[in-house]
Amino acid sequence: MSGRPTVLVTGAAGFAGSHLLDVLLARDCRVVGLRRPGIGAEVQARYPGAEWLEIELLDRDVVRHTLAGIAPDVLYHLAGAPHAGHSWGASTDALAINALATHHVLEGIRVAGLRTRVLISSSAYVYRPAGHALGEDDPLEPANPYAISKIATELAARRATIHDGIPVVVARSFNHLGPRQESSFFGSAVARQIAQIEAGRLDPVIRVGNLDAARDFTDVRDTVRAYVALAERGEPGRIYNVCSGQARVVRELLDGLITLSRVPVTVQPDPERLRPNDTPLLLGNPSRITSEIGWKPEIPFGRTLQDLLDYWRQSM
Amino acid sequence: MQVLVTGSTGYLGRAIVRALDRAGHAVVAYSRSASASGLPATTVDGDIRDAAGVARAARDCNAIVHAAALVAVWRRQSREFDDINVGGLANVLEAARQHGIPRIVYTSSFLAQPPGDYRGVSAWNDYQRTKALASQAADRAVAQGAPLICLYPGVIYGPGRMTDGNLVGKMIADHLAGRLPGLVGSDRIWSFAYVEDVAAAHVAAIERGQIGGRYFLGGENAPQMRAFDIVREITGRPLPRRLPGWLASCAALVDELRATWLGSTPQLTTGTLEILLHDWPLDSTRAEQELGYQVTPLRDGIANIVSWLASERLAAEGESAS
Repeated sequence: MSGRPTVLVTGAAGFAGSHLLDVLLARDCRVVGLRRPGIGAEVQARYPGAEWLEIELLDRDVVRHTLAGIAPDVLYHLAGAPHAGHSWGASTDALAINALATHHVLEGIRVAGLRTRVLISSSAYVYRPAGHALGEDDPLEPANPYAISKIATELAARRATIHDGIPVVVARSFNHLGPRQESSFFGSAVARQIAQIEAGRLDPVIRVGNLDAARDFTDVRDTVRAYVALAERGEPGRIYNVCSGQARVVRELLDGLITLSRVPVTVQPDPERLRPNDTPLLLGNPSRITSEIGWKPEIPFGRTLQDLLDYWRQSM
Repeated sequence: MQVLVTGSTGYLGRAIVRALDRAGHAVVAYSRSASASGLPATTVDGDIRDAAGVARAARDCNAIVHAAALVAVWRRQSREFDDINVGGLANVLEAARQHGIPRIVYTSSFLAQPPGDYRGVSAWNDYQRTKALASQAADRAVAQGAPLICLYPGVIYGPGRMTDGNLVGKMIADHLAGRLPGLVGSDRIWSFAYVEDVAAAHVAAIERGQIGGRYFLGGENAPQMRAFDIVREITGRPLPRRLPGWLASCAALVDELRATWLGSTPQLTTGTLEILLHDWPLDSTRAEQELGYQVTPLRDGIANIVSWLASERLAAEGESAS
């Protein structure tokens, strides 16, 4: 076959996955995207430049054959149950998909004897909440099944690096935001409601939960750029925060979007929208990725909000 | 026209070479053992994985039929499927580009498309996975201007070499010899494509297929069991057992484990089983309209297999008697 590197992306039809495809398809490589059977056909249709397979990552044999056959040079493992807030309702899903799927993927690489560089996305929700910017060596304390599954994923990555010699780099990404994000996430939900209100399909009232929580937001397009940089230059076995280092209260996100609205909108508190164990501050320290990899976020917050709102306006 | 045929000694490839020859085309037959095949063609021995070999064979041709594929239930190395089924197409496209060959007919498979009762492209076994990947590579090549025509045959059946590509022939032979344990997914729909019809469609595609066109080459869309119903009508042989899915799953698992640990070749794998448990109807209207594709009735096709098997058996008995 040709000398172009082969890049495999799991969760390619997901939020970060599709943005990663935007970056990868602009490069000279063969891109194979995996998606969950029955999910993401519309994303596949938007990316004919990639090859696509529907693969159940919980099916060990199919994963093994696929990895051995495709023999990727680089693998981005982004598949997983994404939402911390949902993982109480579907805790088995989060645990099974995030932990077992990662195990199958890494096992497939080992059994096939490949030297694939692997980037695994973990989450800031693994940390013990603290009042300061969290560094990679800060203590872990998973507060929900999703976070437990991400720690399992990180440990599987570590094991594969140490015992199998597979170069795996872990990205602990903090909140990321941007166009095409599911509306079960707060920012995207608000942007969608504003677009619906503008289109006259919804009363001009937005119901919200806890607005005082502070988060570290990165534009998803910056996040996936970090993934590529880490896959290329990250040290195997090492964990890197992917974050901006800047805390913003959720209210800022809401106000920013409302400012961009073309029509007046009222905000109403809704106690049902509070997550269990909602962490007051989740802020990351990006100094490791900045100094060692040379990555930093570039897209201003205002532009992210504008693009997110425009995305929902276009899909009305 | 001078036509390069890859996979020329395979079950379908042989029929294509003969059909091209009958239609008055000069054929260059490219296969690992083409020179020993006795085909009516200029033969070039070579592997589809050898890009330079393919390019050399294509040099003086003005069309290519790319029918080479690894058709198998299982191989120890999944990579073989990718190198042959995905890499082979890349080699053919590159050879055509080098020599400015204006027409390539690519033999894909019904398995490269979603089954009738399902959406999306799956990868239940290595064959399906690599045919699906190659089909997408073909679509991309078309978008970039490659002069490609894609044919998607259904379950190809009919007399001919007993390779893994001739699944129906092998099953009927086993059934008549009392060696077929039963059918899995006996009520599932297959599109039975007679091998000579499919070969003729390849010739028509070379002559007048629309560049960038995709043609389904199906046949009667009938339950798998229907083929054995016809065998019973002709020979009186009772229908094979219907194997329930759970039993087949167990059998497949055991088969695969044996293959993995003992080095045998499995007859059934869990992934292949999944394929057998779906419906795969095809609509051949476009091929009928543009390629003059004609469907041999399933009854006639199966009757041809039965009489061909009988003559093969007679020939074999004659050889052992003399």
